[in-house]
Amino acid sequence: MRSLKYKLGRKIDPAPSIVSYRLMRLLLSPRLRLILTLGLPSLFLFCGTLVFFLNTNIQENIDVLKKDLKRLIVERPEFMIQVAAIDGASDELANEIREIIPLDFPVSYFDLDIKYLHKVVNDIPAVASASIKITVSGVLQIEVLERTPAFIWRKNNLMSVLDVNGNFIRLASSRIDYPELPLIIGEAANLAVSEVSSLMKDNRKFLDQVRAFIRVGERRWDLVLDNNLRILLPQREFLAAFDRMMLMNDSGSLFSGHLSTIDLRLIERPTVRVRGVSMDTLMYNSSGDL
Amino acid sequence: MADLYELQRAMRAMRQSALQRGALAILDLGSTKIGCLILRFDGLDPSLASDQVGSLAGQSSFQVVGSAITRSRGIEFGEISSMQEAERAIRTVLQSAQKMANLRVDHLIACFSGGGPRSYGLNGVVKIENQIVRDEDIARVLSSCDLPDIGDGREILHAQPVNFALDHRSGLVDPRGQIGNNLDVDLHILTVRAKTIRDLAHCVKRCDLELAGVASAAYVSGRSTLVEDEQELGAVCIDFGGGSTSYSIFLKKHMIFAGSIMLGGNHVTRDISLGLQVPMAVAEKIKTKNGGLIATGIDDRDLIEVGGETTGDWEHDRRTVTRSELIGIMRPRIEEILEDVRAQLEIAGFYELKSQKFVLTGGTSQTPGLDTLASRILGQQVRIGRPLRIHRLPQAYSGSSCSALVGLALFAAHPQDEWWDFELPNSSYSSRTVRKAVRWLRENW
Repeated sequence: MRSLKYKLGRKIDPAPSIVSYRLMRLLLSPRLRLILTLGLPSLFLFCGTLVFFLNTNIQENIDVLKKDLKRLIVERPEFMIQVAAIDGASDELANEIREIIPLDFPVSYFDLDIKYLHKVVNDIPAVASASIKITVSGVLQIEVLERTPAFIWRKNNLMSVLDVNGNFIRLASSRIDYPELPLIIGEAANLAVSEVSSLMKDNRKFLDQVRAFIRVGERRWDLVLDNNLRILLPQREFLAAFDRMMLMNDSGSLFSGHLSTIDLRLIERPTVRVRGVSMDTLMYNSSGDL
Repeated sequence: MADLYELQRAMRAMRQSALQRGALAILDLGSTKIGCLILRFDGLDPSLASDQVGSLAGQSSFQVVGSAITRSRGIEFGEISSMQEAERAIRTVLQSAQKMANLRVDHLIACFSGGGPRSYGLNGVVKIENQIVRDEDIARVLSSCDLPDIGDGREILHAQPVNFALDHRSGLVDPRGQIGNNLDVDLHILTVRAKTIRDLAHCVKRCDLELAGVASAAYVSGRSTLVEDEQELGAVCIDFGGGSTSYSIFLKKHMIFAGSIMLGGNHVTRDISLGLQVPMAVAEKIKTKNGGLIATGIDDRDLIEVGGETTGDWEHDRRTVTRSELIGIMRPRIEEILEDVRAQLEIAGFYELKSQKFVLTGGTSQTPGLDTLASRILGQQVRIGRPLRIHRLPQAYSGSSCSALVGLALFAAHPQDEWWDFELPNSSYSSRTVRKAVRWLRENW
């Protein structure tokens, strides 16, 4: 009889062993299968995420990585702005703008807050309006419409430069810096510069003699000429009063230096005050027109 | 008798629970191959749930989800001859079928052709008490049949009421509710050796499954291959297996006789192996590739390379044989089988039936020319039977070699009434129950 117990070599048996058969049946049981296919993986996943989120070290590393990645993109040369070009501004204003904008070139397009920049530039008193754009070649183009100085205003020993609408442009250190600008003096004089402008419109030549326009009581103007003659204009219809005075001056000698004051406040009765020293001349010249 | 009744009832209950769970394994223990199917019962479609047979001949309530076939080991003549080998083979098919189904099954129904099946026709008469036949009357008439001496160590495999008669009015299928005095029943009993069932049960238990039913291969192949009118009018299904050939006679949709002879396709292979001096495997290959039963003139010139084991002797290794010679070897054995079957059928009285139809199935029935030969020996009306198609059965399992497997699936899904489906009449266990109750009272008080 062939030996039933002892076999040489590996027996070739297609049948599964009883252990593997039982294991297969165990794995096919529905509940265990559910646990193995759904329960265990989700448990591992859950534990993994828990460990991940509880570990601050990993989080820090991830933050660093995120920042690095962001820098990598943001700091590409295509996005970098190398220089700011300022158009339409005087050198002085351009320097001021350069100083005031909070940028260290080169700067990335993504780090730029154009709105804020616009506000900052617009907030400069000398700037009437500004537009900011970024050109393709990486230049920050700032186009500025500058306020032109029209008046110099002295108040409390402070000299301010105003534009034609009375807007403050900048402080001036001395009157000598702006010799061609008319000087206006007085409280709230800046609010009424339009009246000065209208005075100056037709009498440019006369006004060369005016040393200062003085606002009196925040309602009317005094003109002080370079020979210390003071012309007091009325509050209303000062233009008409002024024109009338100019008509009176047709003969020429009204501003010659004998008078210290011409009072036009009552338009129907202009008054002059004569200087003490020149009374003689006046008397001497009594056949004159006055 | 009562023990068997309880055992069969237990298996029936297990089958019911398996059907409720929705999964059942089917195992066909053949001498050449072991086949397994995993069935899934998805619940009967309500449109089909009627007392009529539903669509697809009523099998649409289940589908095949797993299937496997392996070469059988440790099984001879349709019964287990080596426990370990058979257990391994069963484990192989069960594992691959369950893997394919991706489903774990716990209950199994098996069929086998061996065990020396013997048929008995029993008769019982009982007097109806209330003139109207009720369930308990049927139970009473079934248990009134006096059992013949079925022999030592044998068990009843099937016990099916075949015919009821009520006051000389015969041919009743369901006598319940009818009025009469005497109820008469014809009971068909199929017995097999008890050892065969015990071995099978042990093997199944070793595979961690519970045996939920056993059936005779002859009966189940008849269920799957005979069409409805053949079952009704009378036909015999002959299942040519590898180790044994079994047959079952059907009449009025009931099996009325079954048996088997211990000859099959393996004997043909053995004859070829002897005759041509080749190993069994080579002989099997020659048989399936070139085998036949009716020789014609051209077969004399049809040379077959015998092959076989290489001995180094050229003359021996390069032998050829004509197909006529091969047919000359195969035909006497097939004729012997057919003549044996005919002799058994004559004893059973099949030739006195009006309709004599022969349906040949099983692996050996694929031999070319078998139907011609069978019509000469058995009778005129012969056809080769293939199993009914069931839902999702793989194509490879639709051949005639799998008719027992498919039939067993049908048997599992749509069993016929058997004796143990009816309650035992009160008289047979009332005294025992009373005695039990008295003993329980005495023990507890």
